[in-house]
Amino acid sequence: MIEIRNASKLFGASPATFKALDDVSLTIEQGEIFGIIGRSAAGKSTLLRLMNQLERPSTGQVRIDSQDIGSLSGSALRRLRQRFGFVFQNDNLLDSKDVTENVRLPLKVAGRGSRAEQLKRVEEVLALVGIADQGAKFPSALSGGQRQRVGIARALVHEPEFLLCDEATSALDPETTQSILQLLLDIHRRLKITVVLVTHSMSVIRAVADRVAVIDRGRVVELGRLVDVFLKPSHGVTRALLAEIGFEPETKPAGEGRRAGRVISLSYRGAIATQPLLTRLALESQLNFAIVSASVGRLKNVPFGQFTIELPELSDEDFARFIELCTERGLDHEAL
Amino acid sequence: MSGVLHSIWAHINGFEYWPEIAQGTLDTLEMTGLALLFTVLLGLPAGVILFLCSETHQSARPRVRRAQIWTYRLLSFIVNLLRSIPFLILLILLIPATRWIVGTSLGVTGAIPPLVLATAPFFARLVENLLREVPSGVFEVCRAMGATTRQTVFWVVLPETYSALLAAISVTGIALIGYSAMSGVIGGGGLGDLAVRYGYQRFDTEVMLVTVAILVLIVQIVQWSGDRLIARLAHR
Repeated sequence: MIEIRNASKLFGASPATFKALDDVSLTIEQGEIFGIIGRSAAGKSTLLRLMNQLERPSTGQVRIDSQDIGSLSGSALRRLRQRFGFVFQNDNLLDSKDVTENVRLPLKVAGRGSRAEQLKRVEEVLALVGIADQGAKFPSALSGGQRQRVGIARALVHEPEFLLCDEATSALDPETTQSILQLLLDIHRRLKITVVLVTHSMSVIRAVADRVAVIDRGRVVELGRLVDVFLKPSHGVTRALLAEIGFEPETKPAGEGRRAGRVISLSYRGAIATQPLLTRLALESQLNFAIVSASVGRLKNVPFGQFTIELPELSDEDFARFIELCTERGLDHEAL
Repeated sequence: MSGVLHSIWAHINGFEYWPEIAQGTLDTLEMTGLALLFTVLLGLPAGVILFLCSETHQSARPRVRRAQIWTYRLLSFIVNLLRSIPFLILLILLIPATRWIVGTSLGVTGAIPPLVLATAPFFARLVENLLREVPSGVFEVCRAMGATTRQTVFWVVLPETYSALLAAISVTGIALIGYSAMSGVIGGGGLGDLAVRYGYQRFDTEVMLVTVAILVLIVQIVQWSGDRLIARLAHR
């Protein structure tokens, strides 16, 4: 468990300081995939780097499994960092070493096992990331996707408890991004490792994250489960980020002549998504509503649906009855 | 045609200084070879220390930081001092020290200490500068792994720079060949000594030309083999 308590981070000397993080608090639970999203310079990478103390907070606390790590230095700090794996945006592979030696380095650094044991472990982890036959190659001979697989192998070889990914897919093309994200999900499922993932792309978050924090100008502006953040975003930045991937929930229709009726947003998620919810609602309420916008799909394996509907003119009583019906059927609703 | 070749051959055969030139060549190679070895042994650690104490790698802890700043200043001052003294003056200034270290200030042995003191600071600066070119991501990787400074330097940073290091060594080797010729002036032996004694003092242009030609050849070979080695080992 990683806890960040009221952490702020200032960069630069006194008059021209830049506040990269401003009173950030959040908790990352054991075994989850936690996504941190924000625009460039929002402070998301700094937040990630607090967790293994590549960056120290100016004020506030970072706790790993209830231990305050702010006071660690020297070998205690190095041992702490060995509990983490770190995947970099531009992979940071060492050009002078072949794939095997690149991946073996964390084991050498930690002094874990004999050379033969280390090489055996490297083979295992290369197989895990799907490049078992590439050990003898040098990084310059690999494609971007393969390089990042090596980067992930290197981050996992010493069996860390936490995997930190700093824009791990940002330098890759969409197809390779998907394969790397599938790899991360696969690894998470097999190793039950806690993953913290920093990105500027909602589609990455959508594919892998269990919970999300949205960072803007050094502050956490939104924090919650993936479905909640997608279906009920409360902050403008979140909406804007969602809009970038064509996901615009609960927007009030702008068209003329739609003032007559009431417009409400309905959403559902999980198991009930398989039921014919809307037709049932229409039949039971006996109302002719129009669908203004709709999206259905999956958010990291959770099926969801979301509809904005316009009701015909009706009395407050009828409206209340309709809302009650929605609640009975397990639909979330919100008047717009 | 064959008559001309024959007379050139006869002339080369009749050239009476070959044994001395052969000895001079061997002396030059021995002098520069040994001096290069000691230059690297001294200059490489000095360059690494300069780099580790330079601004980008200063510790956040005040006491360590102060130690780094003063180490850098001291080492940098010594390096600048040695580099600013003209080699010929350094040679003469160092005569007593050389006698004390290796027992003589003459010949191949006597030439080595001043050569090393002249080129080691140069090499140290080259090393410092090439380490600055290492991408910051390389250090980041090591930090994230929890590597010690020693592990970072020996396992990662130096291997990452070996082609630049080899290039720096061949540049330094070539500078050494030039310096070693100069040490002939105070009786250092080698090709420089020959060129000065015969060519300059006795106006024997032929000996001078031959020694210069051999020096040119040695420099070319060093540069060429350095480049070849770098090309063979590079994985970029």
